[in-house]
Amino acid sequence: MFQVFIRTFFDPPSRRSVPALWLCLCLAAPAAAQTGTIRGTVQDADAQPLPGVHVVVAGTPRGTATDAAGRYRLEGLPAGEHLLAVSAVGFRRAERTVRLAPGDTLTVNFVLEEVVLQSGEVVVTASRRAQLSNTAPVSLSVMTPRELETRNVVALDEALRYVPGVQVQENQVNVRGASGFAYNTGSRVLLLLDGATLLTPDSDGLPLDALPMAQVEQIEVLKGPGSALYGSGALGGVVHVITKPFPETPSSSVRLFGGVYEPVRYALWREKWDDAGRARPFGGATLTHARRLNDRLGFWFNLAYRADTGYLNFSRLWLVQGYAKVGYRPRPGLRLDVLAGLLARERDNFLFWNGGRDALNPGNLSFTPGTSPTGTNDAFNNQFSLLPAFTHVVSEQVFYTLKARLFAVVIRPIDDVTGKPRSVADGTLGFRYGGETQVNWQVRPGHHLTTGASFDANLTRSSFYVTTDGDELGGQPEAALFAQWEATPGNHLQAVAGLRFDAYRIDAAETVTRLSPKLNLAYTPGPSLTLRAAFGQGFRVPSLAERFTDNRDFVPIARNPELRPEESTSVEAGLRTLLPLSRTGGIRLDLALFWNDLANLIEPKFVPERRAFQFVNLTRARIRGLEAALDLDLADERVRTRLGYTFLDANDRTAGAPLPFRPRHLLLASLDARLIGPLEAGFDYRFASRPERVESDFARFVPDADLLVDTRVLDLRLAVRHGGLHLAFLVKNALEYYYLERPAYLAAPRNYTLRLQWTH
Amino acid sequence: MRVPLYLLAAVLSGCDHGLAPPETPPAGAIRGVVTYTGTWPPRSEVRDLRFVALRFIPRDTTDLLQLNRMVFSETLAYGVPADTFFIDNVEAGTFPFSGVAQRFGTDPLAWRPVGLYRENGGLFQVRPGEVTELSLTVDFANPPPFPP
Repeated sequence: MFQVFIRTFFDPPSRRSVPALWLCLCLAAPAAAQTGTIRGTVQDADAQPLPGVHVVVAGTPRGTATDAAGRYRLEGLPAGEHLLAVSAVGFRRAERTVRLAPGDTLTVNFVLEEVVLQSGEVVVTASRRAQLSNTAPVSLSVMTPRELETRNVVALDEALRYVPGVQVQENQVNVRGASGFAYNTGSRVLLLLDGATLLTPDSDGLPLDALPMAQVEQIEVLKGPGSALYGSGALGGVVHVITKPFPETPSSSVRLFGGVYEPVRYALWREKWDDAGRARPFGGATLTHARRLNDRLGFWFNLAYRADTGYLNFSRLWLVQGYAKVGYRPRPGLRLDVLAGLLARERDNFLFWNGGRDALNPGNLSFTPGTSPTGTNDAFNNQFSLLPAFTHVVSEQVFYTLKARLFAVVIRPIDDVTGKPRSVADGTLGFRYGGETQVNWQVRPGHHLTTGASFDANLTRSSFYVTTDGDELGGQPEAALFAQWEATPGNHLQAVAGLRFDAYRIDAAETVTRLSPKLNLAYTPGPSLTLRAAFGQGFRVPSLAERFTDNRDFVPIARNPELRPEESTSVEAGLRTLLPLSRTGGIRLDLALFWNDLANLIEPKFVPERRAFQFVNLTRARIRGLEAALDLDLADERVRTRLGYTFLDANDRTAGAPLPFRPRHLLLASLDARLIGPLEAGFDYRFASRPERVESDFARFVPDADLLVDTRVLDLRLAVRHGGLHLAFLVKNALEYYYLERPAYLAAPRNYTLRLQWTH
Repeated sequence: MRVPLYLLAAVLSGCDHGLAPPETPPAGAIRGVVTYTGTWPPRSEVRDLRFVALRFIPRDTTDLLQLNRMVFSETLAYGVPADTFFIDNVEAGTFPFSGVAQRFGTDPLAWRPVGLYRENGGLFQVRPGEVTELSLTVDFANPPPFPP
């Protein structure tokens, strides 16, 4: 039986049905004169309905997903013979050939057999179109809603901590060492929400709090440059958050959680901050609802509230966030989705500590005693996003999408005296807006052309900025053309070639252009092995904050409008293999060797002539290494484990020294086990070796900034599921291990969370 | 199954608890007398005035930004013929360069020395539990060369 699964999984792409575009999964084909309907249900072996299962017509862009009752319906299919392919994470893929007569309505039911290996998930980030993950000729990791739920993930950074090769340094995401540490200014990892770029307009940072985590279908992490498809920002990788489709029957959930940070162990730290001797609470609630109003209209919303007293002095947080998605299908083949979100957040930003002996209090660069610490600032933050997308299936072979995006940010500093937000004139007001069109054309079976164009503009006014013309308004419009050709010559080889042209207007007098090529190959010599090779180039345009920030309130920073884009060239070779251990269990192994040359890396550097820090193009670097990801499924599906190890050799070729802030070793180990009855347990263990080098300029100002240790974190969880109820108890950092999330910033001590979720 | 895996993880983690507060170093104190000669500059040009002791010899003004490697007094009084200062809880060690620094502009880095401690080649030590006595003279009209 397992050989069948193996054969199905590893069949060459040309003989396997691959859904053509995830974005079109819920689309029906254009109406035709000789058409029919296929409907049915998808259940597991226990006759339980399976929601969210992808049902596609092989070799076409037609497809849908099952509703909460496991039902699906495909209308407007042309008469004739069709191969239906059904796939879901955690289940063996099923296929069935049916013959549809004109005007017929066929009922085709499926029973999926559960497997533990997540071998057949549909991913979209690697090629801007849907494909099974094992066919993606690049390194890609996927997180499922189940993984997010079991860990009580409420923000994106918490999710990414559990992805092999990814390190989160407080609010900065680091994929295979691509990013150092720059206070979330200029991310080298691009964030996409349903395919739309979502970087903050002022600093190009990731809005980690502003995502509807309870409505996430999956998170894909592309490792390596993605600029050939996604442009600037994808220098080191892409994180793609994909939200759920609309269910056929209404679905609701309520999640409540609360917990405490344990008082810190050391008396010296407690002496410096009275609250450190007490348990510090946090908690939150999330409410979701999703439904189809009729055959044409569906929606979901996600409301979240979170409050955290923080484990550091001046690190409080509260936020309210709402997201809604509306989908309208006026007729088969047309679809309009609008995703909109709003965030209100007040947060103390703890910038740096007051030294290793006073780790819980912010430091102070001021000579004047009694003034506010400069190691923290607090701000009231509003974010608004609007992401409409329109898709039109023109024919069996061609469809296109039109997308627009608006992301607005308002930051108002909190007045030290009144405790209220000050005017936006004292803070930041930023807009990032743009549009994109993409055409997918299946030229002939096994040959896909994806092409498109995009435009973005960025307009930000900040009291921290002094722009080239002297005012506080910065802008950086950009336009791009991209194309990608995928071919599957023969039964064993898949080739992908892509090219993107980007133009960025730096100021009125200068426009910077970049060509970003990519070439991917995947070779499947046998049923249990896939070899892959990838070449790609990436770049990142400096953020407005890096170019124009000119401020001395916290750390002296001088602007640098002359910054040039960062660039990267990457090659990678890897393999995936699947070895069966039992009827349903087995080992899935993914190995990758990567080599990344980086040029013009932007880093904050103290510039003596300016007597301030400046973001400068400083470094040529080389990051090479290997990554191994191992999924094991043991004990007849009752135990699932994941091991990920990444070795990084990151060198600053300008300085002839290790690249700062990068660990040499990253290790991730996870286990989930079903115990007795409804009882489940699991753990995650994360290890990152101490960075070999810390930027010395930072240590000039901040006491003990070079004080770093390994990261060794063990998280435990115990849960009970009964019907729609899920009660979980989580202990994070269970070993009470103190470490630094990034220099001069202590990570969370041991903390306990009790979580109750009801889903209907 | 759970217990062995927990143990495995614990072994991987080692027995330490990671970062711990560094040992509190032995500390002493500095007491000083500053005598002013000559004419005081306008108040607007003396935005701040402090005794500053460095644990290193600066090469240029940017070296003064190594706040972690220096200690400084409370603000000294303006327009007086002499003043005293006392700095408690100073981590014991050697200070090869120290003096009175004047902040002359709005820039947080606009500082300059206006009088150096010159005895013993400008070097003094703070010993655990002891108070080190210093005396300095400041002449705003004849500031010492900087860098030294």
